[in-house]
Amino acid sequence: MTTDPDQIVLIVDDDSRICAALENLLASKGFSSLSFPSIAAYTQFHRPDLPACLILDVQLPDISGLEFQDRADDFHPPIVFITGHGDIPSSVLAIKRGAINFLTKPFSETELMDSVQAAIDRDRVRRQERAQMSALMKLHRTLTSREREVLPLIVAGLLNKQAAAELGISEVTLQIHRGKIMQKMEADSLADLVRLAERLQIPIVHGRRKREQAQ
Amino acid sequence: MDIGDQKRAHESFATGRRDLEQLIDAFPALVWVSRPDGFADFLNRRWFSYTGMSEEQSVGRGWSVAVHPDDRGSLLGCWEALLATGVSGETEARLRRADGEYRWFLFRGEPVRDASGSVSGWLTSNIDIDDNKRATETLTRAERELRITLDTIPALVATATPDGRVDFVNAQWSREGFSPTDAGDEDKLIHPEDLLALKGKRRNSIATGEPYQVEARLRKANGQYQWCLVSAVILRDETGEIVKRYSVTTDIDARKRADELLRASELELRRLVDTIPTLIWSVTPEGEPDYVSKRMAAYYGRAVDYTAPPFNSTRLFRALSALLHPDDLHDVHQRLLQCMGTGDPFTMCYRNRRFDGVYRWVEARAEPLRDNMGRVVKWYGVTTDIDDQKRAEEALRASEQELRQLVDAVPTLIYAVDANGEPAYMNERIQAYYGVTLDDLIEVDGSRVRGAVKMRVHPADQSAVAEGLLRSYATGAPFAMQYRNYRADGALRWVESRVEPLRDEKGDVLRWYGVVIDIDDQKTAEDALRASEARFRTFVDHATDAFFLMDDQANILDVNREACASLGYSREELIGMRPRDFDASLEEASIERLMQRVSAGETITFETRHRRKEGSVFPVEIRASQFEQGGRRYHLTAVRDIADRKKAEDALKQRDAKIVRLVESNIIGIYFWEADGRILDANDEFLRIVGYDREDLIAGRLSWIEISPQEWRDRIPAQLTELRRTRVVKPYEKDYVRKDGARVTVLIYDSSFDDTAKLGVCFALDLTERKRVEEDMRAMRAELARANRVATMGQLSASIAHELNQPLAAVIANGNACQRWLSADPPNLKRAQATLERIVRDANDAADIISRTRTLFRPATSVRAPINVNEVVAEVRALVIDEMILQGVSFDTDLDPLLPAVSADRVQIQQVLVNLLRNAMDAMRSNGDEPKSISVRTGRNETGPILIEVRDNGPGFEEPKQIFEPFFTTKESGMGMGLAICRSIAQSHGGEISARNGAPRGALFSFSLPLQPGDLA
Repeated sequence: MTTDPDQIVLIVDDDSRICAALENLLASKGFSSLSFPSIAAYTQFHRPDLPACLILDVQLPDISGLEFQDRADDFHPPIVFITGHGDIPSSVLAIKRGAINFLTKPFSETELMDSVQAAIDRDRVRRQERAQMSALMKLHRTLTSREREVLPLIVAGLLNKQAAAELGISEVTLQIHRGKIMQKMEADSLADLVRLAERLQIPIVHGRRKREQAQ
Repeated sequence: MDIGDQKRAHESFATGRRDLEQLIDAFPALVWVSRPDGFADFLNRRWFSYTGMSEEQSVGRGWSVAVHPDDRGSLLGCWEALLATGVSGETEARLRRADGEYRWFLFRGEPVRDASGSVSGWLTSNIDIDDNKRATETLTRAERELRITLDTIPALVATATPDGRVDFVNAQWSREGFSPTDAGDEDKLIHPEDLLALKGKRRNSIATGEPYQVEARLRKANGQYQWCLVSAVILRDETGEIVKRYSVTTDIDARKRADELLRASELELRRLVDTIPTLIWSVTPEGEPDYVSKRMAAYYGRAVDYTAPPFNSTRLFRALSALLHPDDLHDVHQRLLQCMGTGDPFTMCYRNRRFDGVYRWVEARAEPLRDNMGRVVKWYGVTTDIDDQKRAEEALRASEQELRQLVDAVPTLIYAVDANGEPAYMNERIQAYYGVTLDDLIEVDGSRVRGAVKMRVHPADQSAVAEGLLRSYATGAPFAMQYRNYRADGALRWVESRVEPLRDEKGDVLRWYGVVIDIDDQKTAEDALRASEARFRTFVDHATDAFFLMDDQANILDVNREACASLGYSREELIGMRPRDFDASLEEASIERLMQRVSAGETITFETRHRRKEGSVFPVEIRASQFEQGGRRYHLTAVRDIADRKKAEDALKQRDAKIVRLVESNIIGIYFWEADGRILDANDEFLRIVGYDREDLIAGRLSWIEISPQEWRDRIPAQLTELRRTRVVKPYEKDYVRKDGARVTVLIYDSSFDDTAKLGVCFALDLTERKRVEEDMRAMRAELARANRVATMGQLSASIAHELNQPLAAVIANGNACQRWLSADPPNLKRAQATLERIVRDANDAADIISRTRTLFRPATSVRAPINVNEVVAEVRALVIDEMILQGVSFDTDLDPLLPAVSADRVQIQQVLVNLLRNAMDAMRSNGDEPKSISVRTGRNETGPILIEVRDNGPGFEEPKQIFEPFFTTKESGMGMGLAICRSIAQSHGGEISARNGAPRGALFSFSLPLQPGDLA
């Protein structure tokens, strides 16, 4: 079985026996892995830009695993905790903060492998989402400032006439803006544009206000 | 002339010449002989020897080489002139000596003429005049210097020939603007008025040969006359002929003017002195009468005639004898001379004769005038006519005499002291009273008055009397004093002494008159009165109430000290005030009404508030009444400050309130009892405890004896006995039987009101609740202990589990991996093999952990050596003493010094002791106020094992049996292993450890350590 170069499992445990056993097990399952004896060693390591999972011991010589989890940023891969003797408050805390699982040693192979797989999958999805979002934002940045004013009015469902009146421009001009926006945002339809705008979290206050005024 | 003659002549000449030359050689001068044309053809030996020149060099005009180059020209010129004129002549020139020095010579050329008179040759002699010349030069220089000196002198110097012609004037003349001829013109130069005097003096001087000096006015170049002093000397030669007159004229104008000014001021002074209406005179230090003022002259009626006899005496004596009364003459003269000798001022009274021949008393005073050096320059005297005064004094003395006789007749003690404070007189009465005469008075501290005081005045009064008297004498103020003195018979009597000055018309004190009046009888009476008054005053003043004496219009007439003290006013301030001035509560109208009631004869008492001077207000109680004296009605008001009483009343009220609050708070049951069992009163809490209601109490259905259970009733007599003795019994627990028959446990605090123990108060604290709480607590503690044991076990197993889980997790993970490697296609045997090796290794790790854990609970092999148990105790004490001090635990040991050494593991024994001490400290944490103490005792029962006992005064324990079981603990964080280990150590040493509760409290651990076979008993 060859290891999958598209993903990696990272291990932090001060017990070298555990590190070795985990690497061995993961290797037998076709995962490439890297282990570190402490958080300090781990943070010094430059993480490869791959979907990843961190198997983290709770009790560590420098800082505890839970503490590290609290400090980790949004881009950190999902964490699977392992502990010598787990207590309920710690496990609840870890899961609440988004840990994939909280395993007590000795843990079953299935549990561990399922958790590791789930973590890597989640990381992969998150990475894709982040990539899409950044592409979308890139498109949005190509809009002129006037177009950025027009966009919320369109996605709010205003008619061209209404949107033009709102901005004090002619309907024709607005239509030109609208075309440009569709083109620049690579939207196939208005619905498509609305979905993109939603992902960009563009507010749609104008439309609502207009309706309120109409009432 | 024929040849023969000529030849003869020539021959004779030649002969003559040879003779001459020989003569010339012998001549004691330099001489040479020349031909008529001046050619020197013979020079004598002296020439050659002087000049060192040869004949060849000198002949002709060669000699001129020896002449000084400066003089040569003029000498040769002179020589040619002589030759030309044929007359003799001379000149001076310097001639060089053989050694090169030039000396002055007088060259003289003399023509030698033959019989015809024509010049036949020249004889020139050169005479050494050098010494002469030099002397003249020195003289000339001296003269020149003298002249310069004379010219420099700032005085007019002139010399004149005997005929009066001025032949020298110095430069001063021209400096002062005179022409050279002025010096000779006396008529013009000297003031006409002085000229005569000058000429007279000069004539006199010429006659006598004495130098002379004249002061004369000299007319200066500017036409002004100035005073000068002309000093002149007439110089004569040996024959007595007048040679010269030298005169020096010095300007003395400034001095002259000063003299004149002085003379003028003196004159003025004299005029001034003459106008003073006093007789003023002066005498020179030598005793020469110098001056008498005009007044004096007028007084004596003539210019003082110094010529009166005896004429062979001094002028002073003559003057005195002319003026003084013959009886006084000698004394005055002697005194005056004496003063002049010593320089002391002269003062004397004597009689002298006035112009009208009457002798009158005068007083003369003279003082020396001294110059800067302190030398007496003159004596100035003033003479004053004191005759009238003197006569008055004499008259006075006469009248005094008369008065004295009168005074002696007066039945009063009188004495007199003169103006100087000297006792002068005592009348007979005073002498008799004191038994002292004037002559008996001795001086004390330089004063006979002090002596008199010392002799007769009471010692306590002496200093006041003496000082008072002397002060009066010094200041002129009258003296009056009462004091005690001793009568002649030794009786101590009060006297009043008064002293008044007698003054003359000018106001000066002539004499002091003193009167002493025996006031003893009067004084005694006064003292009695005063003492009585003082007693009464003291009585009133010491009254703690303030007294105000008022007239019937409420004006304060007098107050006592307390009144002043309480209100803060002085007595003087209060007198004249009215009550409303310091009453802070009552209005005028109320005071008026109260006054009316008092006036009606009522004694009233009321409370009000008074205001102190500083403004504070205090409550008072006032009692006022009226009395009559001497037909007038007075109000007497006694005011009592009741601030303290008010305060006490308030305090009492507050205390009562507190007691009521205490009783009614019902925190504790309270009842008041009588010895027979009756309960007089009880609070609700007590009624609640015993289950009775207030009606039962009021109806007397509640007896403290009856509610006591039977077993308590027997003790009542004993308790009452103790109450009688101590009034209080120690708190004790007892039961009461409630109305419903149930029992209730109470804590009793009993106290009787007095020694009879018939009445008392009892506090009953309901212990029901406390008992229940105690029970709950005990249960809870047991529960807690159980829970602790479980938790500890859990903790221990968790930590063991963690240790084990690590290798187990690795084993399982590796096992899984191994499965995977083997089931792979193809199976990865190599990795499976490696994995299996890891599994074995990790499983061994797990096994190690388990074995390590077991050894935790098994005492390790110990090292046995003989130890001194007492030393071990000391070592352990050092280990834990800091901690004990920190926790406030006192630690003491009672060690048997005779303990033998015992084979044991020192560290393990220490471990046991530390464990026991720590347990004791932990146990005593809950002691609260109970003191914490631990004691360790070592000892041995005869040949038995060594015993170590650890005793504390903590709470002890409930299950002494279980405490050595493993995992038994009473501590929240304990493992329950300590004592289990202790027991295993004790057992491994063949000994035992046991525990029991101490008495009255605490725990006692006993640890026995038997001697081993090798130990020396």
